[in-house]
Amino acid sequence: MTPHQRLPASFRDPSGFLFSADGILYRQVNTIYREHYDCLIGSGLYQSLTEAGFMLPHTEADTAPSEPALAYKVIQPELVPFISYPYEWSFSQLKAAALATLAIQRRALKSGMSLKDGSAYNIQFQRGRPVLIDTLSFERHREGEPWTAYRQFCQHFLAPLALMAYCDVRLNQLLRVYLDGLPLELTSRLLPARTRLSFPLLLHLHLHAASERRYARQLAHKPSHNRPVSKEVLLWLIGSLESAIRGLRWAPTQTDWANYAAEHNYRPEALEHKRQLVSAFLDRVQPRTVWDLGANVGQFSRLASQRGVFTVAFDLDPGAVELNYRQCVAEGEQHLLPLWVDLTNPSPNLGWRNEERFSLLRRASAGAVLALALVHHLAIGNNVPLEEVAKFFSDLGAALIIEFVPKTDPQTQRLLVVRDDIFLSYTQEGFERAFQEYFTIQAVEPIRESERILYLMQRSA
Amino acid sequence: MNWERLIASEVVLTPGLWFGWLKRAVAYLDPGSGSYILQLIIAAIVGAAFVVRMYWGKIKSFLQGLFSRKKTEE
Repeated sequence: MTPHQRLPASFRDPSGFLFSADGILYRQVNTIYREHYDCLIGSGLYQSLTEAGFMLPHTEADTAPSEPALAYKVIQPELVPFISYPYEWSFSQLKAAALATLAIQRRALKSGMSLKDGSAYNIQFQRGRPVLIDTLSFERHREGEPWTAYRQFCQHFLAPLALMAYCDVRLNQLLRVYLDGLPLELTSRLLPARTRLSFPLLLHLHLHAASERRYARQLAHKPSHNRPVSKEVLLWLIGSLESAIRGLRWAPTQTDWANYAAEHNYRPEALEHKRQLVSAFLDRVQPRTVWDLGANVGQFSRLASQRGVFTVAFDLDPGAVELNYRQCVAEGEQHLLPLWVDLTNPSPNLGWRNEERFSLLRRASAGAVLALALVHHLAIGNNVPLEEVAKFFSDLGAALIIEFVPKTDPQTQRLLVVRDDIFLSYTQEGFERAFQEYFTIQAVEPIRESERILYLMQRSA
Repeated sequence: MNWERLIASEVVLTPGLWFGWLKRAVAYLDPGSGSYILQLIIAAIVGAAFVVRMYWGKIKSFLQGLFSRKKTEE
């Protein structure tokens, strides 16, 4: 038996923590949280939330606790196939996560409990839906108490969504810097003046920021038995936050990539042939997970996800990721997770001791990587040597389905139109030589009616 | 000082009144004094609105009574 390993991100809340033993993820529930855990189960809230798909189910495990002196129970949560972070979500993903959090808080209040934190990191996408993963997020509601997590909710959800809707969708990247959500005072300053005309935004962002500024250094002087915030008021607050979130809208208009497939790419025969080849390679590899790099709106990701393979579709264009997610929602897709990631600068390790939020590469790896119409962007658009591209892809997954786009291709020509061609090794031979340092080439298939070539490769041992 | 700050600090709030209600949070998360107080303000205003709504029928009939009495007096 391997020793227990406590997960480094799980340290703030004294109610319990995550640990792994023998490769299985567990959560220790501490005795200090006993009353709340029993209430979560006993009140029927847990059942109601898991049945409605709002919360990750768990089973109580017989495993020995990691810290027996503190332990009440050990539970084994259902596994989420890929942990993603809010700075990797598109607008609608963050909005869906926000609304799920409020729906959970509404149900909790009706069951005599309350969310004690409103962190976006407690939400993950499971089977295409946002679910709460932290079983220890609830506390028994004490009549009259305000909502402890109100500020955190505004910082993690409302502030970035408002900035994305009213200023620029890329501002959600501020979440990478401010791990506990965007400071309200900064948000209030960045938002345009007209947001003060929206009552919910005025209240929850601008007045909230002003109130924080005014009372930042004031401490509680004396405890009181006066409990002034009734449950009706808390439910009103949830309703008001819901209308604030629902009122925020963003739609991709002109994106670099959203019309890419339709406008530039292929003749219909070439596109169909490429689909057939990718499908055949996927059937040959039989991966358990696929990462589609530069997935655009997920046209090829769906070849994998529709085979029931869990697929993450990465793209650097927030518009493409947004359209991809909307399609997932519209069609109830369960095996596809679109994420907004720039492969030339993937999410790093962040937070306390750089251990709280993991880098993309540290979180997982793929059974198979799809890199279609991508290599010319990395090698020519970003000056990354082909050997470096190959090394990076070999870090990501065991099998690789990759398309080589030659220099004569109109898309590559477009990248070279205003610059010197310094990419002398960017040839089919140079490509194969570079990738053979890390991979074994298993199949080479020219795509009909185009100059492009599709490869199936396996990482060298 | 902008007007929001004015509302938050001087007009709506009488700080001494509210601080009596501020209780040390027992949760592990710091709710933030400003957020805590803002919820107290919301509670006062929304609570008052609830009361008005609850007694709206009585208020309405009182006003109507006042109005119709005036009419009969005329």
